[in-house]
Amino acid sequence: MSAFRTHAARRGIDWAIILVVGVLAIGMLLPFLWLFSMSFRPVSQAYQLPPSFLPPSLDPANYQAVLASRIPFLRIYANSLLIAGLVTIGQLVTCTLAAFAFARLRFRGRDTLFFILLVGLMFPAQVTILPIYLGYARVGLTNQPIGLALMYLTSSFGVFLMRQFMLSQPKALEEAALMDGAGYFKIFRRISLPQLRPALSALGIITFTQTWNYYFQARILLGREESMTLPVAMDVLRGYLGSGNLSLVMAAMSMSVLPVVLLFLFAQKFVIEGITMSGIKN
Amino acid sequence: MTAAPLQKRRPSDLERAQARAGYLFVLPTSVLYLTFVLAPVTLTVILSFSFYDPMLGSRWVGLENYTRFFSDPRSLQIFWNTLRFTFFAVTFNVSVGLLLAVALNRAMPAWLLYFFRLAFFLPVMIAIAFAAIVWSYFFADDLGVVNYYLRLFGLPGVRWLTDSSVAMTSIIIMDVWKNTGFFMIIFIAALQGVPKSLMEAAAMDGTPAWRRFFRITLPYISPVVFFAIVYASIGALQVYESIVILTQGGPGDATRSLSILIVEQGFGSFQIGYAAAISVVMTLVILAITALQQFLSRKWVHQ
Amino acid sequence: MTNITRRSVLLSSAALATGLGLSRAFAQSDVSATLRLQAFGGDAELAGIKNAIERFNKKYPNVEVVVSIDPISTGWGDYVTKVIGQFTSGSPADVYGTAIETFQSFSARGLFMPLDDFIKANPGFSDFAPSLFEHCAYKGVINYIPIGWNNIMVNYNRDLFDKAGLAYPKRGWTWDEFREISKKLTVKDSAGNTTQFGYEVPNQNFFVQSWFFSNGTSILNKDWTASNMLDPKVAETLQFLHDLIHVDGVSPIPGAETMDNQFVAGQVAMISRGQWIVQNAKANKLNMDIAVPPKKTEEGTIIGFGAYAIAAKTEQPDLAKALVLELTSEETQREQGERGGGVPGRKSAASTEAFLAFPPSAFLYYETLPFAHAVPSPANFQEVEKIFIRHYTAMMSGQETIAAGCQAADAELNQSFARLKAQMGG
Repeated sequence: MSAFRTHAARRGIDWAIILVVGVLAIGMLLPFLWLFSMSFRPVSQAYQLPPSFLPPSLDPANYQAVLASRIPFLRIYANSLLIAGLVTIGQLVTCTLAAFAFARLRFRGRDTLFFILLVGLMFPAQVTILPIYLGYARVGLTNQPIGLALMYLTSSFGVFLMRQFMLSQPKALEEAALMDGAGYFKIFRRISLPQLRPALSALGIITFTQTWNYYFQARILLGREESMTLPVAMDVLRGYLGSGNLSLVMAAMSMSVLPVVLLFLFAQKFVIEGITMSGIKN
Repeated sequence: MTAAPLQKRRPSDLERAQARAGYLFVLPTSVLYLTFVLAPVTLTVILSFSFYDPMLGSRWVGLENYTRFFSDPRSLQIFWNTLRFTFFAVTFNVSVGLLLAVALNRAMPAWLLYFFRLAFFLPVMIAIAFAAIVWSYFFADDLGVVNYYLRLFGLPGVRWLTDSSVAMTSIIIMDVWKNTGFFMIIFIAALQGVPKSLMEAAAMDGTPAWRRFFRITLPYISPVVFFAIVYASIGALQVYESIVILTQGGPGDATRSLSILIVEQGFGSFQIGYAAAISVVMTLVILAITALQQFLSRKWVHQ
Repeated sequence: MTNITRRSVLLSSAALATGLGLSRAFAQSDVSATLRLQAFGGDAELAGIKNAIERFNKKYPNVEVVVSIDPISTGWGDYVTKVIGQFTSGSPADVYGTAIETFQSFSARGLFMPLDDFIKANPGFSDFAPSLFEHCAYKGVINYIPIGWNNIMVNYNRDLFDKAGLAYPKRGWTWDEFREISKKLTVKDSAGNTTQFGYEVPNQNFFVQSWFFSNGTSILNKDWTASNMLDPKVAETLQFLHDLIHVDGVSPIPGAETMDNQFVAGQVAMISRGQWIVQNAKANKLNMDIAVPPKKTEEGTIIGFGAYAIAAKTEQPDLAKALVLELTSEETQREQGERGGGVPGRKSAASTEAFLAFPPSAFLYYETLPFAHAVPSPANFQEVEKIFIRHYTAMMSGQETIAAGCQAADAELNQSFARLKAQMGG
């Protein structure tokens, strides 16, 4: 039952668990190795059995072909970055503000409002996108990357998540600050948020990757190649009924996953802090 | 659902200030929510009572769309598929995510920790189109990777996606691969909030690890676990992409979910009113299940 | 064309000279406007459209053409919804690219302007195969100008034929011959595991229909107003496909993914596809050729094609027409034919050396036209397709018997037609 031993255990590093997790992790990574190796191969070697997970060479031909295709890949890249960036920042602000109000402040209609917000989770994009599309078409927001970003500047998910995190936080510090006459915004900004760093980076990572991968919505709202996002562009590369060159698609995918990986490595520093410090202690 | 406010009894001017701050804090979210969720949803409810096709002549049809759904023998199977998927996807996504988070919440070299987290979160980061390509290759009958290795070990191959009694299982496997990292990240963040002093004290007392987990860790992070279960359930009840990319709902109706039906009717066949009616039914189901979870949560969620 | 004020010495291609047919063909115009083009396709189609717009802009340097493109990754249904949405919200594009599957859906709603006079005024269109225009008419009015078309052929890997010591298929080959050849092209390893399939029983509505036509039947009746699923020949065809999979083991069970890339990789020897497959094959130097689909009672295959239409209420009808002329010009078509993605609708563009060079039997595409049947595309096409494919996959996976599947599909199809009738009448 050592699976549940924490960093506090005095016996130090538990290599048995690490080994098990390591094998699992490599299993999770196999599809990505295949993706990466495919991006350096011709299609004729795509589906060979046994599958091979290492690139035969580092010939960048497929990457060059993606960049040379008629799809303005770099522009599309920038669109994806813009949308995901805006949405992430937007949600970190709006969701934490609202979550603080729902978790810590008392005002009339609070619980009703929260409930209504929660109900919003229950409607998938497939339901709401058509009315939004019709509205956007009227005001000229279709084919504008900003239009997709606008829809997601807040999310019931984010509010719900942050509220739950705030609820599991001790209130003592905040109460003390209130006694000292601090305003609510100051309490939120100076006391609640710093305590929430792991949660904030979790929300940031999740929001960014989700937005980065929005496909259904993006395909409906962003048809112009200049306004496309990466998932739609990859669809265009895949071609009519999947008849496109698979190696090219894989090269495009390898490139498109890079920013999320970097962001993840960067953001998880915040989640990780607590653990590594105690790791050093050990 | 109720959260204890900072101050229970205070002079009324402080209460007013608190309320004002509260309204101000929820304002941005409320405005955006009204525009991008509530308005479209209201429109959907209205549309569910209509035949909507402006260029052919829209008209009110009363409950016709609803009776069509409930009288279609396919609906029951699709309903059942959705619930089945939800039960298993939620169970495995949340429990595997929690197990991974706990397994990673321990002393180990930082680079190893980075690597593990990345490995488990990578599937969340990748576009669904990739999952489609790689998993159809893995799950193919004769030319598939999984069957190749099964046969290598002398085991019979499995018709992962083309056997109607296996296809849903395969979808759930893919879904857990794709989404469990999402819950892992949330749980990792939640575990940071568990006071270390408490855990250390318990460890000193010689409390076994599993008991520390159930006595201290789990109660402490229970609001987040509850959140994860609710969120996973809502997401699973709306499952669309995980199924569409692997089987498109087939063979036959074996893996079709409510959301797929909605998209097929609404976007695929321009039966807007009918799709809206199914959406309303689906929302009511989700609401009922969420309410049930909320009710049950009083027994185990500590706030 | 009163906006044309300045003449230009700039000569465009001969096709445009005949094509434009609007009094001043070589004029450069300084009219400034914005035209919106909603097109479909992948990277290749986009390249062709871009080049056509470049040529258009030589004549109309101040007209900005804004292109949106939809990859049609999930079939035509989503595209229909999107286009109807654009009209409903009062913001349609000026020119639309679409395909036969959607013609009735759009025309029944009156989205596009009649083009009969436009076609008469441009004798250049006579270059198109006449049957294409016949399919473009709805209730006697033409709303669409065809571009490229695709008919389903049996594409085969010549290397694998050579390796099996088989002669390449000839016109007039039969289902039985096809079956025998498929068996010989199927390779199993020592453990009985198939490593190379003779054929891919198709997973898409469009690809599979040629089998019905070559048995002298179809899933819908002749005028696309009712189901024909109870015709014994439909069941016979489905049984044949089913047996290819379950009796002969020459094909995997059709799933969600198409196997184009496996064909290119040499793991599938024959595959039913249109000319769009050539692009990927060429890029990967696949030694392939095409054959007319084998016959049971007659030679028969299916044809689908793309087309352009102009929004009924566009503010720039003349410019839109000029753009359509460029998009359907010989030069645009020739490029398309050489690049792959469809057979050019203009015979001249499909007669170039480059087009006929690959696959070696590229001339066969045009030879099938006399017995190529249009995709059965009633106004409820999107429903018809879904009903058929759902039962088709159930039957091919063995989940549903052929008899039960035909019965169930028949009932559902007729319900859908009844609904359509009520909606159109209402």
